[in-house]
Amino acid sequence: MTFALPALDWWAIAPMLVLVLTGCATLVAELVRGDDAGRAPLAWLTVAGASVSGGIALGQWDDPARLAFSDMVSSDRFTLFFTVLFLVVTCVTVLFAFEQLRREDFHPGEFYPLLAFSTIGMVLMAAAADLVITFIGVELLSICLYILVGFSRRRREPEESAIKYLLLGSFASAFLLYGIALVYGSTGTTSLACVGRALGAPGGLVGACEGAVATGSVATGMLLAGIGLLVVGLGFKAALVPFHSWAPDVYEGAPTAITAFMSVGVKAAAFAALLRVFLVAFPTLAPDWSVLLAVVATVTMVTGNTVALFQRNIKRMLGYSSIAHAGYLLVAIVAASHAGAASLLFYAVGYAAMNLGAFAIVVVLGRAGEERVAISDYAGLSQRQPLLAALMATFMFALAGVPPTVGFVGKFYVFSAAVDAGYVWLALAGLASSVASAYYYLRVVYQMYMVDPKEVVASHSPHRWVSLVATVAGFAVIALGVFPGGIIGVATASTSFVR
Amino acid sequence: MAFDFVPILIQALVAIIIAVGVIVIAHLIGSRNPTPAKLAPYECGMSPVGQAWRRFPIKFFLTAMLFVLFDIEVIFFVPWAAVLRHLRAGGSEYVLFALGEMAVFVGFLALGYVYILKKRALEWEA
Repeated sequence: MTFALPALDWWAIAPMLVLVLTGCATLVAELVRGDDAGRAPLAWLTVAGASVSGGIALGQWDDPARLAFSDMVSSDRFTLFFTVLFLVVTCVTVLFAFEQLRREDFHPGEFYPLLAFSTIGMVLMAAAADLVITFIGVELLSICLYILVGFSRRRREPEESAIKYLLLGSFASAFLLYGIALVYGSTGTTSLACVGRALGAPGGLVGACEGAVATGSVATGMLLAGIGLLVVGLGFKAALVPFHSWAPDVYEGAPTAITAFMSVGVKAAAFAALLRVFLVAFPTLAPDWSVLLAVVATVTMVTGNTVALFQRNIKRMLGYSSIAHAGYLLVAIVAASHAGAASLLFYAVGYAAMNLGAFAIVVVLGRAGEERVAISDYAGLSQRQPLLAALMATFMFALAGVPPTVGFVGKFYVFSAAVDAGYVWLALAGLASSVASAYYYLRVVYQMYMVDPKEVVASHSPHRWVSLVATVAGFAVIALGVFPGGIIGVATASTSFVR
Repeated sequence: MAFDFVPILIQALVAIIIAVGVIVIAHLIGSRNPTPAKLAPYECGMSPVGQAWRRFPIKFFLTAMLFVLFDIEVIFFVPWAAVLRHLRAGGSEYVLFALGEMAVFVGFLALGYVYILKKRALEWEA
């Protein structure tokens, strides 16, 4: 028996290592100071760790793209792009949670390590160069989320959403694993690049590929079944229709901070994994899977937007809206082109700004004991809190895709990539359903500006950090809508592995 | 390619044959001489008390779960120990590498142990 020492490229995974240390440090800090007053240091420790991690990721931007740890993770601009996006989402979630959990007078310190560990899972999903790492990332993320979803133990609904998410999530993991097994069975490898090479994809970063079958001798039937199961497994995490049924219940029951985290971060992670898997491993099979994904995207957009029309609870409405946005993001993958991949990254950033902003307003307006999440609670907000109302209106217009916001530019890039790939009908379906979506987004605006408040509510001073998040997100939504060039350039550079 | 998986198929078949076979053979050739004691549910030799469907402290679950967690961790020690001997042939850097890996692993394990101790998860009366 002979061994070769694995090359340990610690620098390639440095952002993740920092997050591991952050998670452990918050765990220990929570032990040392278990009282509620010790929560603020935990929150700041998490934000500090995420900032260091993000700083390292930014510093690695000009490093050469490479595979590390026996071709398991890829350290390239795609990974770094999503790492920074996830870390921003995590920091915002910490700020939300700090405000909300303090208000609820229920603030276990475990929240922060769990959040840090689930962030590592998301980064792993984006960095995975091997299906096994994709699976580990999904599991790391999911297991932390199962706990986080049921975090507000004082109420009854969180238990329901947690158990629902746990049961359905385990099913989805099984599908994902079975899909990986079938792909391995037909190609003899789990490495994404090696699967791609066995299927005749052109070069790129390829590792050793021991055991992979020769190019062209792949059992196609088994492989297509495997691809189908991968779509189920990852589509569950991304809340694509018909694997979305958990999403509204979970989004409603989870603490608002976690709802924001899931609807932005987890979704982006699932799409990062989908993009990696489909455009690195299966680009040559695009004619086979893009039709399937196009149908899923259409159903997702139409279902999400239609059901959102009937929601009275703003968290459920944003839940269905996030399903619809998952459909838009999937359109970018259907295009299976460099422009499509870049538009997905741009849309992910824009969607993060719009949705985190909207959730920031939801957090700000909630109060101890009641979250105030009925859409009618927003009646007359413009009279009481004109600034918040203006910000919320901005986010609603952006989510509806009204120019000059980032929502419009993002949809424009995504749908034009689909048209370039020959999917005109898909772009038309997306446009039609996004026009319908304007109804429910603008209903919130209508409530805020046209309806008198039904009760006089003592106005309270909103938490300054969450308000800051909302303000920054508002600026970002407009700025990215007017000057999209910078981010689209970065997104294009990050997806250069797509041919 | 598909031929490589034939041993797994054979193993699965053998498992099924043994499982089904034992039940069938016991059914066919076993003698039946029921007494009330034999018909009672097996309770490790104790006489059964009451129903299984009743509330009992969740501490049992917690302890069992922690036991399983730390028990599973040991699974990683055995292959490591089996391989360590072969690594000695490669020179000291190989052994140091393996020791370093295990140190990290045990470090995380110890952190978890300190965590459950401080959280008083192992104190029955807490």
